[in-house]
Amino acid sequence: MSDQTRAKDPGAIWKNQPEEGRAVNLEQIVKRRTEGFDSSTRSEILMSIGAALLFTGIMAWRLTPARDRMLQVGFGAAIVWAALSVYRFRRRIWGRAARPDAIAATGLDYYRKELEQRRDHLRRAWLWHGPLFLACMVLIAILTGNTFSGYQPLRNVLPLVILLAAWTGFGFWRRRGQAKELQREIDEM
Amino acid sequence: MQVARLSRRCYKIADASTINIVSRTQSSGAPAPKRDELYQTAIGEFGRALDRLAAGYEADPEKRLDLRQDIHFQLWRSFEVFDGRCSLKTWTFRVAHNTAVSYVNRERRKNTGFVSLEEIERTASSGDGEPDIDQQRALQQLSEFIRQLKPLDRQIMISHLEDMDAATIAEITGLSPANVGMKIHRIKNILASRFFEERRYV
Repeated sequence: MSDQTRAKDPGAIWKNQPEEGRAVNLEQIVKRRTEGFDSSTRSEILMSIGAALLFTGIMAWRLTPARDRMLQVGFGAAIVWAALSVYRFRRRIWGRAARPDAIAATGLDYYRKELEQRRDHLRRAWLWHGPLFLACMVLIAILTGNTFSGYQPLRNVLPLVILLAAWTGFGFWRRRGQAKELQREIDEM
Repeated sequence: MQVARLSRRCYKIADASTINIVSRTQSSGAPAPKRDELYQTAIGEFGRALDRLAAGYEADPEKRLDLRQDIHFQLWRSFEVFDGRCSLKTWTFRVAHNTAVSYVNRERRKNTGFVSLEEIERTASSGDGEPDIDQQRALQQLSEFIRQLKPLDRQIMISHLEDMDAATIAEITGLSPANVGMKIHRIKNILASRFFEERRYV
């Protein structure tokens, strides 16, 4: 085969393509995925608790004239639950120093540990989804009661309640699936 | 990843050195060293080809780096269940192609539709594939052409360009060797009409 012919040979063209500028480093990939888990966990907790507090705040403001005892107790419980969740997950939320045993671990062992923690976090979704769920339940209970006393038609807010309930249900279902997927990955390791 | 799917249709078993790694670590009960050693061996042997494979699936260098990282990670994970019933090459390229196909499917919304080899063969003689002696442009043209193909055709095309024989490609893709042979014949025709026209131009 002449040089000119070889120059047009697709196989030669394909194999002579320039090398990639950046090499792939497995340790870096594992580190990045580990950081990804950490950041997902943090944003999930913050979003859920933030949504619960926002929801509770708006509803308490809008329904204050009713001075409903259930509203006060229910929303109070949601705020306490949110505060306890923030305390429980404080290390996750504000970042944490590496555990002493983790410092000496290889990147891959550390990754496995992160997988396990992420799986446990997803399995305990009720803990950090709880305040929002509770706030929704309280709202439904109050609105249902008020509807029958003629205060406010339930149908006005029913779409919102259904949407929130569906969103919460979907969240639990999705996280259970993610936890299963992680368990599979842990088993493979 | 469907490991069970990976184990199917392997006619060539791993070579002696690969079997040695598998059996040595199986007897010592140490899974991590086996995985790491096999991964290092595979990357040492096929690292450059895997980079080229990624180029066949993604044009953007930043995204391609992500894809390459994903391929490496999935490959490393897969070696946990590698038992030597496939050759290291077949296993490596199966994992790499499957990972890349998943990537392409995720990105599909952003891409225009793919075409099959048969469709390209029908339009190959339209004259838009004027050969270009400039290597870089030719490579660009070839890469763009590959990235238009449907995933399975793309696997065959890339494997063919990597000088794999029909039997190896059949193991990687799961198609029959006869079917692969037919596809390779089409690929050769298309490549000849687009990139290999010395008879007309030299």
